[in-house]
Parts: sequence; C-alpha cells; structure tokens
Amino acid sequence: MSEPILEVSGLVKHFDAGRGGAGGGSGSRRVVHAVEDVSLHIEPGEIVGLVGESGSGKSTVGNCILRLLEPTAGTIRLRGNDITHLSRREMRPLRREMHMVFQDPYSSLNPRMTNGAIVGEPLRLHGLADGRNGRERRVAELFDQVGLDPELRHRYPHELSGGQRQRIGLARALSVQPSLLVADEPVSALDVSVQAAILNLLADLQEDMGFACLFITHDLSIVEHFCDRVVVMYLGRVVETGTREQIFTAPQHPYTQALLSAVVVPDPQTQRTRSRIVLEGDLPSPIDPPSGCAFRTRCPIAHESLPKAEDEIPELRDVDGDGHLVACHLARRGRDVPRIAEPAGTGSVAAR
Amino acid sequence: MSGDGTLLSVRDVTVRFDTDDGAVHAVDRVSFDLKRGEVLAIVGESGCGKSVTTMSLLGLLPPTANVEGEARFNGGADLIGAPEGELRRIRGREISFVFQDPMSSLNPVFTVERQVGEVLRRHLGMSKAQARERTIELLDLVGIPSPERRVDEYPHQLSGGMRQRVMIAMAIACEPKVLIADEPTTALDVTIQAAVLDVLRELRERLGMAIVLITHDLGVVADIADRVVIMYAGQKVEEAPVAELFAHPQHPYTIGLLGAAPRTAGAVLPAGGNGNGAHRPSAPTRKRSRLVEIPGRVPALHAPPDHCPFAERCPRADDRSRSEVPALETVRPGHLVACFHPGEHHDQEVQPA
Repeated sequence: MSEPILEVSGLVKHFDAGRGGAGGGSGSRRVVHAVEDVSLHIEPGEIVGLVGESGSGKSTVGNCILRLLEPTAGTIRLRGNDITHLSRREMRPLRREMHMVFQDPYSSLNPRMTNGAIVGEPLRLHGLADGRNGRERRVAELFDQVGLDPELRHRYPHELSGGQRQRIGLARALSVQPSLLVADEPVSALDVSVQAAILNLLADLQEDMGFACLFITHDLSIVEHFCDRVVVMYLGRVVETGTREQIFTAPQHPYTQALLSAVVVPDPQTQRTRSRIVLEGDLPSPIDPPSGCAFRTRCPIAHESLPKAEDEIPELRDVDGDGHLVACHLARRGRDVPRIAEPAGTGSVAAR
Repeated sequence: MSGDGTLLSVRDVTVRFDTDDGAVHAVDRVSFDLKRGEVLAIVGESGCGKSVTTMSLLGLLPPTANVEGEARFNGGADLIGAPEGELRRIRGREISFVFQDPMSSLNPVFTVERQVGEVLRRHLGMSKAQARERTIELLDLVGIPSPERRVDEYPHQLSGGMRQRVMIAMAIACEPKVLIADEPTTALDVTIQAAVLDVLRELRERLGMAIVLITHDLGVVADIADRVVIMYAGQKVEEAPVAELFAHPQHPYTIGLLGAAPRTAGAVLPAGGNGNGAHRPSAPTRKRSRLVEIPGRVPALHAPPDHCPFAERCPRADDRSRSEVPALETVRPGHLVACFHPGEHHDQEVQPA
C-alpha cells in the first residue's frame, strides 16, 4: 500500500479546566481529557468519517490534525512528515497539502473580503497563480467548478445563501489542490435539499481531484452515504473503526450498536419495526472519565465483564484480522460482540 | 370536543410581517385539523412558515405580525385576535409549546423546581409543597433519573437532553390537550433524540395528548407522526397520513425532499444473532449514489403568490403553474396536494444552476 496521507498515532489532547473544588483555589488542577490515545490513518483518495456525539472529541482531533490546537502527546504525520510540533512558519508550506472546511458558512468567511478574494487568498499566499490576472482566471474557474456563477466573485459573503457560502468555503479549500481535506460538519447547518447539493458536489470534486478527506460529523446517514471508512469515537477515544460495510452491517462495540439503532430512518415501515437501544444515563464528564472502559457506565451488556472493565482500558484490536478494529473487552476472535437485545414489547433496553 | 374528535381546527391562517423593507407574506392560507391523541407533523425547510403558523395561533408573534384566519380549540371561540387574557388561560393549560433550544428557553437563575412549579402554582393554584411533589412526578414521567435530586438543580447542571426533558415536563405540567413541539430534538444527539421521541410517544399513549411536531427531519416524521403536512414558501403543498405520504408522495417538492435525505439502509440492525465473524473484508467501494437536489432557491415572499410557489424550481412546471396558484385537491384517500401535475414519478434530476 502506498504511504498514507495522514497518520495519527496516540494523539492526546488535554485542556486545563482551572482548579477544582466548589470553593475554587484550593483544589488540584482539573484536566479535561478531550482526546485520549487516538490513532487513525487516511490513505490517498480515501474518505474517512469521524463520528461521535457532542463531547466525543471528534472536532478536537480535527483541530489537532490541522494544528489549530497543540497536541498534548502523540504524533501526526502528513505524507510521512512529522508535523506534530512544527511552528506556524514551518507549517505554512504544508497548508497547501491539507485544507479545511468548517461547519458554519456564516462565520467562517471574512465578511470584509469579496468572495473572489476569499477564494483567491490561498493562491496568493502560496504563490500559486501567475500574477493578478492568472489568479483571477483561476478563481473564476474554481467558482465554475463548485457550481457558482463567476460573477459572484465581486460580491460579499453576506449576499449569498448558506449553500452558496459553503460552496465558497469548498472553492477556497480546493484552490490549492490539497491532498487532504478536513471537513468539520460541513453540511450540518444547511437544509436537507441544500445539503444534498453540497454532498453531491463534494463527491464529484473528490472523484475529479482525488483528494483524501477526513469528514467529521455526528450524522450517521451522511457517513453511510459518503464515507469509505468510519472511525467511531466515544468520550475522547476511538471505540471502533472499519469499512463502511463493516460498521453499518456488523457494528461490534455496544456504543456503535446503540448509536446506529438510534438513527431515524426516513421510512415509516422500517423505522417503526426496528429495535432501538436507548442508552441510560448521561455522557460522563471528560474531567473525570470512568476508569477502565469509558463506556462501562452506560453499557447495556457490561455486567459479566464489569470487574475487568473497571480496571482495564480495552485496547483497540483487530480480532479477526480483517481491518475491523474494536475496543471492547467482549470482542473475541471469530465471534461477534453480543447483539444488544431488546426486551419484548418495548422499544428500549432498560439498563440495570 | 366537537363530534369528530377534532381538538384544534385551523382555517386559512395567513401571516404577514410589516417590515421596513416592505411586507413579508410568511404564511398563506394554511388550514389543518388536529384530533385527540394524534401526532401531526408539519414539515418544511427554513423559512417555509412552519413555526410562524403555530406561533400565530396563540398570539406568540411580535406586534409586526398581521394574522388573519380562524383557529378554534375544542370548538370554542376563535383564538386569532382573541384578547391576551383569554389566550393566557389557554396557553400552557390547554395548548403548550416546547421550543428547539432548551438552554435559552429555561431561566438560568432558577432551579428546576421553581420553573416547573411556577406553572403548577399559577395555572392550577397548587401550594409550594404540592407543586414540588408534582414536579418530581413530572420529571419522572419524562424519564429524568433521580428526579428528587434533579428538582433542586439549575439548568446549567443538566445536559442538553435533560434540559429538553425539563422543557417537556414544564409544557405538560397542566396536562394540556395539545403539545406543540417546535424542532424538539434538532439540537440533540441521536441517542438522546431517541429517548425524547420515546417520551413524546409515551405522553400520547398515557395522557392521550395530541402533538403538533414541527420538524425538518423526515426520519423523525417516519418515527412518530400519524399525519404529515408539507409546507413550502408559506403554503401547505401536501398533506397525507404518514404511511401514504412516504409510499405515494405526490408533490414534486415532497419527492425532492424524500430523495435529498441520505438513506441509511444498513443502519437497520439485524434482528437477532448474526454470522460468526464472517465479515467480508471489503475494499472501499467508490460507487456513491447521488442524492436528489432541488435546484434554485426558495422565492422571496414579498408579495402574495400569483402562481405556484414551487414553479421556478419544478421540473414539471408549465405555463399554468407560472400563472395560477394550484388549489389543494384530494388525489387519493386522505391525501391532499396542491399541484397541477401531481404524481409519484421521480423527476429527472435537473443540473444545479
């Protein structure tokens, strides 16, 4: 296999949460364990979905990869080069390789720049176009490529709709022909019909340009539609990773099973006959995560293995050697993690 | 209650906002009925008027709104234009609201007891002790664990899902006959959404509450609704029982919406046990089906429509669509559609402009 575009290993990101204790001052320093020991890799041209719910640490992983946050530990390699601790200046040439698209098309574009200047800025900074005219030409091409009227170059972001702004964000990101696009919830703020248009566009561009993509989202139906491989996070850790087929047809980790079962399907017959696992309790605080298995406090099938789950962090293992990795004490070679059964008659699992 | 079990009857509601930039015709002659114990979903994208329609019924719109039409609760007097005192008696007690954002709809400086209790004391005249006890019962009903402890907490101590459940507890405190829930799960994670939908289902089953669910999420509709109203640009363009709507959508906009949502076929868990580790190590598959796009944009609503509001974006539009407003007509049993060319066929995808 060729060299991965991106290789993240043992990534840790802690945030300082000030001093603990109700009175403040006297307690020990508290730490938010936002990301713990995350490893993932992206091959050229591959679209990897990074999924998880609020507080899972998925965006923090994205921001560390983009070097918008300084990782606490671990390494990040871009095309084999260790970029974990590069300075801003040292990062600059590498920004061509890796570009980003953000969730909020309203606040991620500079309101005082014209749309054309926004899209042309990376070209200018990286000296990628022949002077002003060359840049203008290239920007017009990019507008055309993302389905925008090139005349909109002379307008400002506030004159555009949400979908059009997200197209500007894409045009800007792709202007430098990056080998990796990091997209953090790029369509979550958009209406369904607009979302569909942006996803189709992203798929077309990916096919034409062949960039790899880390697609960070909470929306599993988009992941299933769009991604080749899936990484599932819970409370700062990767709990499962595999191909789209592996994750969506044979989810192993109890959290992945619960997450997939909770997705609502736009079809009344299917939706009303599916079993749904409702997780009890809240997400534990990342300031004081559970010992051992992070999911044990909510796991509907943890009972028998509980002593182990309390002291031992389950390793992310490829039990069957098929590239499907699961971090669960219940994972055994040649055998699936038990399905979470639903009690007859109700739609939910009453835990404990 | 009137004879056919209709709790809420809304007729030809029209809402116009007078702004400095001219009038905005947000809602155009929308009618619907809600029966006891029924879940009616009102579906549409941003700006289609789905929230404004329901807010207009109980005088919740700002003074710039000009509301016309008729809305009767339980066969009583018209709510539109009714005096504030009369509306206040109905709001919370007979018809109550749950909004999308539970953080900004709860008062951060009061405990859960104080906020839910206030509704009970004001509307039902309960004493402080009675209200506290009832609040704990309500928290339990909406699935909040250890309600005796939670009742003394402040909103910031609760998670998003918990806050939304407190909002629902507050809305159902007086056992209203109608609950209007505006995107109640949109800000929530899927696992929490599943739990909140279960709470709504339970309320309907145990208390016979009728629910108007305003949403853009067709998955949520498929999960819980009995009947669906589709709105576009301030108008009701289609209405049908839920199974009928998904199986036989007629309006090209509805068909577009259904096709735009990515399908999650594989997310359906296998029923029982599964193969013993017989996973096929599959290479990345490159074939992605295309989602249906709806080209163009929602029209500006500066004038009352004089033609089909969807005509500019519609592959079926003809001269008639561009010169007349289609009326709602029954095309199949219980199935209304406002289109000159209704039908289930999928339109050829049009390239985006």
